[in-house]
Amino acid sequence: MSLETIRPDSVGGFAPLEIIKNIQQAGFTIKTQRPLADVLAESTKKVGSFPYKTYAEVQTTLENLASTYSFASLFSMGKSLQGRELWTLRLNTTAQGMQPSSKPGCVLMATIHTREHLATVFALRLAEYLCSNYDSTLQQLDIYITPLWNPDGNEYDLSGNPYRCYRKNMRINPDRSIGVDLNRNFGFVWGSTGASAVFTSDTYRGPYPFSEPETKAFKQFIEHRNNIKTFASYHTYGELIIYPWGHTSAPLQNSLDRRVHVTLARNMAKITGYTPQQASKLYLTSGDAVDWTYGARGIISFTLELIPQLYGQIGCSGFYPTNQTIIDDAIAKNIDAALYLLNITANPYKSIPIDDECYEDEIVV
Amino acid sequence: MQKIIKSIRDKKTCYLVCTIMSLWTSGIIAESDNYPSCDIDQFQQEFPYKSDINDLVWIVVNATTVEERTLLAQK
Repeated sequence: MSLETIRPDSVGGFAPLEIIKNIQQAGFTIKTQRPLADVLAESTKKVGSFPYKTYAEVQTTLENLASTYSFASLFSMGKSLQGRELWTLRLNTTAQGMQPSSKPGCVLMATIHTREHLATVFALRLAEYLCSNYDSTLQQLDIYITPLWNPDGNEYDLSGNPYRCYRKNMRINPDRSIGVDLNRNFGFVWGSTGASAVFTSDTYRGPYPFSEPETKAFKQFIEHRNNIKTFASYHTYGELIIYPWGHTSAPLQNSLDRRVHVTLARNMAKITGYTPQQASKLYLTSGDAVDWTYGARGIISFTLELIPQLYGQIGCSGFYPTNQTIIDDAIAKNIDAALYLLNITANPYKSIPIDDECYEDEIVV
Repeated sequence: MQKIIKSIRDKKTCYLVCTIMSLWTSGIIAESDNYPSCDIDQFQQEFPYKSDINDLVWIVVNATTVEERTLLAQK
């Protein structure tokens, strides 16, 4: 089951019909139950020229940036299950495409979950901003932006009218259900808590770690780049800035790493107005991207959940915000937060204050 | 294997393609990096998904603790 709306007394989310009885047998009371088709009809009707981006639009925007700016280059991190490219824009004055670089690197990925389209809109706007404001600090870095991590799901979701509120990739499972939750498919404590072994579940983890081309391509990309220092994965929604761990409620054992994650999350939260917290404070998850980038590669890693904070009792509308003013404001704040992350990428540990006793309150017992 | 898949894809019998993909998934036959693309729309017409969005439901559940939410998340 995917948990989308978390309140003090309840959670709302999507579950396959076949596990409803199982949830009840576990002692839970289901307060509301509505077929997704009904929910979609009410809450995700297409809105005119709404700015969610198709695969082709993402590709065109990135191609234009790469052809306009000499320091920008476009390459594919790999192919999706259905053969689409995982287009990645790279900003680097001395290396292009897949060439190695010794500059400190920052990787910014968006929309691993299909229905979280606003993250892609944000990533494209960030790419445009960075290209047109490419200052001396940015020139010292190796920056990667992948606006569409799950392009197959993106096309499937946007082709629906109403939108389909779809989360996973397009893997056809052995029972002929569709999709693996890519953000439960990473190979760090994979298959542990907070991910499902049920094919139809929105949090289905896949048959084995990195079983999906979209996660495997990212793994290979990261493993060939020892210069990557920071990583951010953009999602919607919740207005949160989340850091590892997700698979355990214990804090990061390495004190310096714990303090740098807390510091950076807090500072980005000051910019955005979002809530900084350890991922497991909501619920435990295993096999997600940031646990792997930090746990396996030591990269300072964050998940950013964009707007809205909470959206009524029905989750779908939260994935398809319509107020352009609010969207623009959210994008502007998150561009500033991304700039902060980029500015400290060369040496993230410098951001830790000398007197950081206050960080003890971040330790989850 | 790729020739077989190309052949059946040409006949638009995606069900067989998907069966083979399932065998990969199950580890019964070796996984290939070159996954065959499947015409999803065609497949959906001929073999409706066992569970697509139509089988999902939006539910609100009385969970209050991290442990309870975690239990739900792995359902």
